[in-house]
Amino acid sequence: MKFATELIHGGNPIDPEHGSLSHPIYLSSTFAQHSMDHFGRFDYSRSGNPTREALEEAVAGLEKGATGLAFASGMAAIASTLLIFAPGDHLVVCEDVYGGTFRLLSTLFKGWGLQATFVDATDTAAIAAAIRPETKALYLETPSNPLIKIIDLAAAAALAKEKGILTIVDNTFMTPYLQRPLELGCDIVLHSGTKFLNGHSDVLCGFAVARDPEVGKRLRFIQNAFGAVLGPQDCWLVLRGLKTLKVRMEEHQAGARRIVTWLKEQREVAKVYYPGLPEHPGYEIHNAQASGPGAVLSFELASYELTKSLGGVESILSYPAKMSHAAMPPAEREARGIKDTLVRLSVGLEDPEDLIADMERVLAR
Amino acid sequence: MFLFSQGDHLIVTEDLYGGSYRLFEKLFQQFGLTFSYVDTSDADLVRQAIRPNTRALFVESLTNPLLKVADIEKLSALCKDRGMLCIVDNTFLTPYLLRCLDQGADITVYSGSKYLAGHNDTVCGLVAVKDPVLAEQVYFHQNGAGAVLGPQDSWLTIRGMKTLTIRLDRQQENAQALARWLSGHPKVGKVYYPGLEGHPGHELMKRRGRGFGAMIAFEVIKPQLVDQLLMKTQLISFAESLGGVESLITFPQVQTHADIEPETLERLGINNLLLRLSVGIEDKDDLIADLAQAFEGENA
Repeated sequence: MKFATELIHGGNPIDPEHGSLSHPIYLSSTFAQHSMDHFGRFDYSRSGNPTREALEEAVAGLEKGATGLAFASGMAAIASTLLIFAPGDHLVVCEDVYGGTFRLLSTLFKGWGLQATFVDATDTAAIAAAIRPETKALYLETPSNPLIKIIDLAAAAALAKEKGILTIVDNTFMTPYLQRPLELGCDIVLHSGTKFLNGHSDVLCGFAVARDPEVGKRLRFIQNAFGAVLGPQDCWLVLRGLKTLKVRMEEHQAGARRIVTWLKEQREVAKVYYPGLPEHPGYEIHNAQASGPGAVLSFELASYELTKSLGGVESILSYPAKMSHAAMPPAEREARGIKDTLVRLSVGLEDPEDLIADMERVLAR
Repeated sequence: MFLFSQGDHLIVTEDLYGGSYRLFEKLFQQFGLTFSYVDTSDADLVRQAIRPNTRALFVESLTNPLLKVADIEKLSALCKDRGMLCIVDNTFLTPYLLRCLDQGADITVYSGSKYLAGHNDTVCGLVAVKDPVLAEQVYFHQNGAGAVLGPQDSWLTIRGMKTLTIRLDRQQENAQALARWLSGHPKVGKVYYPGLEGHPGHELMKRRGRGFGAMIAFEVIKPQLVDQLLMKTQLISFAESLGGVESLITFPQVQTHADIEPETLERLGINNLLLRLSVGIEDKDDLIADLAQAFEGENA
């Protein structure tokens, strides 16, 4: 089945009872049992729910994993996944990791004895150098947030395999339409499904997909025991959102390319970070592991004043220093190259010419 | 639980919900937290279990499934005295029947899926914190670990809570009637319901709370009757969970408490004769008639 077809039919069988094309929403918290010895497929909705299962199978199918798990938020997916580790374990993490993940690693899990070393993961040798005997996993994002750095996933996964450790990849920016880390040898894919997967800014959700059924089993145990699951109504909204993933991503991406071209021509724009640009240092690697550059880009403006005024008009813009990476101390941000003049743009489905006209007005002031 | 870190020790109710036990033993223990399980209906046993690194007491106000009653006022005074947090799982009673924070507890936790939402249609959890500074810390972890409740489920829970008192009033009334009826049934052994005069926590609950709740545990006289009851009840569904408008019957040994070691279950009295009944708001005569017909038959 090709991707567009899988989005419509994968993990979403037509309801055998009534032929409903849209998956039924099973709101029940519990399920009546017909036998004491043989429980039905479902007993309690935290452990499993038919609507959630349809979504989990759909996402697992798209990522080509054995097991998919839906969580209440991206952070719930990340926190639940980190619960597979124990005190004394060590992780090697890409340095400009999402601020929420950084906070989780540097506060909560640090208090519990999980160690993390942050490295420039665009350099596979730097990853290798940070691996210690107690290292249990690599934790990567590519393209990274917000500096759009590219990590060679196949090389990282090969290194991890050689050391007998897991490779965990946050694939939020790419979605399985553009990049499938499990096919490149990585072990667990994480998503803030709130972003492109659901795509309508109306649900908070997260996913973990495991390549290996044993890893999947461990994650499923944690999902049930920790209980940070996604409710059936939200699952249904995400199933609905997924149908248009491919058409949305193509449109998002076309818009991003157009805007990047325009940004490059602006005097007020000091630098543009986008993996679709041939001068991007990760261009070759990205093209080898993903089928498109995606719709997230960032750029540096000539002054902080411009940065502030631009934020006043565009809702799709964000300031990493003040928003996604506010949880990271200023010194850490600075060290990672996240300047106060950096703006991140997640290109929506509006006509790019309208977005450009908006930005043009601000820059012309 | 994220308030604690490596090396911390907690004292926990021994016959607690199996899911809490699983979380503590199979997940948080690996992060260096340790847990002692005691009979929290006896404050002296709690005191004896305190160690220098004990940071909190995690107590079920009315235990699952044996319905032991904890003296929250006494326990929270003890916690305060020893610099420990008093965390109460008040799921079985709800704030309508017992106000734990008023009685000195620091935090109450709820499986809101039960009485608070009350309609068996939402899976949710709620935490109430007395001190705003401590609440900030809990919020930090709610945001940091991201295990939040979606707006639609939040709305369903708000909607459910509107009828909390009228549901519980009816549920308690039904439970009292069913507990009395079960006590007089020849195929029933022990009946655990704090609304019965002989229950060891009866007087305490009468003093401190506004009712006895609507959960009943009872033993049948032989194991074959368990299967028979679970299969033959028509109105009372054989399903996990509790607290909703529909009456449910559960076999704790193999369902809700399956994650606790068999020896512990046996010692506590969670055996192959024990059934747990969550009484709904159906007419009590119909519920009694349903149980009566389920008891009849081949094992008579």
